[in-house]
Amino acid sequence: MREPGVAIAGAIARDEGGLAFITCPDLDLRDWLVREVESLVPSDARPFRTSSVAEALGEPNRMALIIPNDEAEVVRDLDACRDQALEPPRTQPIVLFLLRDGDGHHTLALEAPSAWSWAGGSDVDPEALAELDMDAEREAFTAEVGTTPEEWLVPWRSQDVPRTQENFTRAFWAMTLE
Amino acid sequence: MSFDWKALTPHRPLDSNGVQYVVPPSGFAERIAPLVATGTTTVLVGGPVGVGKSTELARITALLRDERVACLVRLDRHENIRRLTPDQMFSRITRDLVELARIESARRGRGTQISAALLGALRVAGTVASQVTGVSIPVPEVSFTGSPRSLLDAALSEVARATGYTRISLIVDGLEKLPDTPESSEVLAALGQISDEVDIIAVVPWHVAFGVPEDTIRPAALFASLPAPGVDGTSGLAGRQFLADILTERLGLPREHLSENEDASQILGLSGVKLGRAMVLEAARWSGGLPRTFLQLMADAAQYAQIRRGGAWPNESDLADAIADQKDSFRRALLPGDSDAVRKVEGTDGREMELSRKIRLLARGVILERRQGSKYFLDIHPLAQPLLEGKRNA
Amino acid sequence: MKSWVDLYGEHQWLRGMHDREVANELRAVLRRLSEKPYAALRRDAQSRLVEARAPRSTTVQYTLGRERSGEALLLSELPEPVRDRVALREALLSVLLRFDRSVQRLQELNIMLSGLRLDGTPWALAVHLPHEDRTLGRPQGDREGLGACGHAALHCHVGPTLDVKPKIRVPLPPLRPAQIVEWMISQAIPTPEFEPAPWPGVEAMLHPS
Repeated sequence: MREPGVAIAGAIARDEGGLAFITCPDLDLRDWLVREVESLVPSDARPFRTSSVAEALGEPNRMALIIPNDEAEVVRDLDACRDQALEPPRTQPIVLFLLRDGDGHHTLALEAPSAWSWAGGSDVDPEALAELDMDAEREAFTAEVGTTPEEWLVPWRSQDVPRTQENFTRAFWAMTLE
Repeated sequence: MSFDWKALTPHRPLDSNGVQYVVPPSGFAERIAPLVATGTTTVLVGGPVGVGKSTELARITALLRDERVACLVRLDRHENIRRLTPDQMFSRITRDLVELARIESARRGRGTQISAALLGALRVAGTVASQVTGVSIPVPEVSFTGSPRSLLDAALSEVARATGYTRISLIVDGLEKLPDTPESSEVLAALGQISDEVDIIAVVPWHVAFGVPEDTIRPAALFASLPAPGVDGTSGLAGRQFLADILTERLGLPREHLSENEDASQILGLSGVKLGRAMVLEAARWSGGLPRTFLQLMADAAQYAQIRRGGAWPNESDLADAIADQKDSFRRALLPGDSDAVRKVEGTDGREMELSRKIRLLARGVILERRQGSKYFLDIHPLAQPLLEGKRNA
Repeated sequence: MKSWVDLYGEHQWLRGMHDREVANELRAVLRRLSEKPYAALRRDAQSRLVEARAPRSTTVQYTLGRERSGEALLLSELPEPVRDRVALREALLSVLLRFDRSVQRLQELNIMLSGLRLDGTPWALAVHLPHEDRTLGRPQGDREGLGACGHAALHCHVGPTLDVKPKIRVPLPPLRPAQIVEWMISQAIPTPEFEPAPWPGVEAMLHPS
């Protein structure tokens, strides 16, 4: 089960100087996701925000966070200029923020196979990944602990389970899953 | 033991110096280079993204360099291909050719033979910088001015003479990104106007491959598609081993660490790390034979291992999540109607599929051309297959 | 009495937080703590702060690592002068936060650091802010124990374990989750490298010249 933060960090770190897409449900969450990425990346990435592919390519040693005004045009430009990121070789990736099912993704599917291919597997929808698969989580809980979340919480709530770090964590997850 | 997973660089083709190159099961470069050497003057190359076209072009360049001037021109590293004009293309080819000639002359111990007149003219035209490989190029008092096409012709003639070769081969990469527009046709036609004395090996867009490729750039051009090797079953053994070899090369490991025994995991005995050959072959199967997808899967899985546990080598769970990541990418590549259309043509030669859809899906490797004997048929990429069956998870 | 009522009020006021802002603050602290040369946590700790929510729910949770045991502090890997000041042999950090996103409110907080002292005896530090909802099973909500003094809403347990009596509950000022993590690490590694508010800096802010 993929964790959103790990998926974002992995997508960005996978290819030195590569390309990653972050899918955002709406413009408000796009702003938050940009800030989340800024808080996730290593300090030496020196991220900067831009709406321009040319500006992004012009800073090969800084992480470029492209927040497009025109998604389709940015995707087309990236598709056409993709290999310019190889010479000189980038040391930091380009991260493009796109709306879910928006013009950018549509253009990737319709017109931009090179850009799509470069970011293959580094195309993350953190909001979607944050949603728990409750069935899988309950199964994992029961497999680990031997009881269902509800059964586990009974002695916990009557103070019959030691207050250890591990048990506090189990109680927290059990309350999420009950 | 630690591994440099960043060295996988799925997005970077190999250079023509041959380091890390692994011959694919198709032996593509090894087949094409002799054809060019024995008289095929125009080769158009096609294939899905990530299949290794740029790497094979670099290999062809290396194979031809022994007995001719073989100049690899990576147009897409310097130009926005969507806005490329014939003049820009000619200027870039000229620049790369002149730089190659100077390097070759230095390598063979002779001083550069490119005339000051030509270099000065190129400098005035902005085709070369004021310094080329450490040598200042003065602006002549009276300079020749010519169109980019004429300057290219002049450069071709001088380079052939200066390097002592009679034949020049231009290996042009990047044109597969040309959109299907009249301007793109002009660019391709302009490429074909280069003298017949010069070989052209160029990657072309899919809309050319499905047009009349033989007449697009020059009459009687050879169209050669670089296939993704099969990776399923017994017939896919060579394909899986090819990908495993690419991995060992890029990680700097001896090839025997991931060779031979299909079912065994080999214990290196260093820090208890198991090199899971079975897991690597699993990634190879899921990649559909596309080297880039395979390297992305392995690199992605390695990132999960590294971030989650500080692990040196990914486990099955890490690979499963990498596969899920790739499936998300493939899902976003599908447009309405794709699922039904793909299911209908699976196993056939694909003639029933509407052309623009076929081009779009072939270009991305969602459908792959496979060969069985003399027959070609369409196969669904393993990462797309579960999506078409309505399953969203591994 | 009034000061305890005021403290309880401050804890209620503290709950008004935007979960994403809190997460970003936490990530910044975790990132600093996992970057060399003084890394107390394994690299990329900030990406292991996991956001999760149940389908069709306004509740969202953040946990440090999905593994139930939390994040190990890299005490033995600290550079020597720093390592010599640490009185712990091993320690695990866990962060458990629960928010109601629809009203931008922190519902529940549990940040724990526990492990072994150098002599092998256990040691635990835990900051709790109980869930504020009053339910059938928990009719008191976040008003645990006897009152706002002995059992302040935001409190810290210190002891060999959390069960050893007497159970100490230290009332805390309204600290945000990122500050709590900073404070905990500063207790485990009491060196200038892990002091986020050194006195010279405090002085400079109080009396800017």
